[in-house]
Amino acid sequence: MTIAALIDKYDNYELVRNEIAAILLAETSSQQALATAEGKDPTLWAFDVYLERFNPWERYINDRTEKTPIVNVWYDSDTTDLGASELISRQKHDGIFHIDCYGRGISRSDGGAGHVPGDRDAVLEAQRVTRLVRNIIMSSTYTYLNMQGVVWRRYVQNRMIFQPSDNQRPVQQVMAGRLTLAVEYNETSPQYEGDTLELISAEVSRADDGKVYFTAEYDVT
Amino acid sequence: MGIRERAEADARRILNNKTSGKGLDITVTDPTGASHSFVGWQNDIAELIDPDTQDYVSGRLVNVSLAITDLVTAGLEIPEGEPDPNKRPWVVEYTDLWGTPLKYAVARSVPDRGLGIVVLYLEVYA
Repeated sequence: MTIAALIDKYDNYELVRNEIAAILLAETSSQQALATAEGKDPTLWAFDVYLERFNPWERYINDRTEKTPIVNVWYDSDTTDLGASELISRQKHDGIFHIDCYGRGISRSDGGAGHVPGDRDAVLEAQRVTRLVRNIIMSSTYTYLNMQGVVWRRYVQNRMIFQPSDNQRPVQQVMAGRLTLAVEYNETSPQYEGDTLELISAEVSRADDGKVYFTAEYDVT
Repeated sequence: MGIRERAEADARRILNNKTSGKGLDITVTDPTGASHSFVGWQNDIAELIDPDTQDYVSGRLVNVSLAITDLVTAGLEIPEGEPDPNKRPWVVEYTDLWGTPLKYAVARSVPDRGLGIVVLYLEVYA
């Protein structure tokens, strides 16, 4: 016996990952609009969102001034919480998603007798974007990541800023911050649907004295 | 002339050779704002950057090589990366093969005082 139905669906970990990216994309646009309305520089709320990618930096090879940060959402792993699962149709998974926030720093004159160091600029950029992303994801607006009924809860398990390897010194100063987002969600799977063997109709009635009668009709021929 | 001096002179001659060699005009501006012209080598190659996320991103590694004797003759110290944001960095400028003027700050200095060459690793300076 095989599964009768075509498996033509996404698992929820994929949908959760996609939803995290969709939320970030919607919010960077919204925040830029809000910043503009308040007379602030909207580019400070801008970042590009990618799924399971890490090489969008290609575009910075030839562009000396492009600084738009990059946010990459990727799925890491999950484990099954057996205590909150049943083994037939629904399991609760504790998933780990990483949100990497890349900042590019550009060394430049401060307009006076000093300069803005590119390495520090990169760190502050990475931290600034990490801050934006954490505030978006942990906003009460997204308590269930727009997936109530699937997502149990979400929280930032870890936040870290990476130290760059320093064996070489590329012209681009790049730093990254990582938010490790723990998300608990349900996973489901195709279910066996049994064949109908026989139809039975039954009637339950109660007499005046409270006695209950069960009457069933079925073909015995 | 000992072998050490000869090696330094050869290296300097090779670095300064614009006609049949790889030399090009390089302008170095010191932290006081004074500019000096030199002839040296330049490299601009692709490399991978790992911000330690285990995900490598594309980057460029740019450096110039100058003869330390040329710098000393011009009254300069060996350029170095400037950590103090209250000071100007050493700035290096040259024109690439396609005529585009490029401007960089010195991020790290790697001198070879035995051979008299300093390699300056550069970062974008806007």
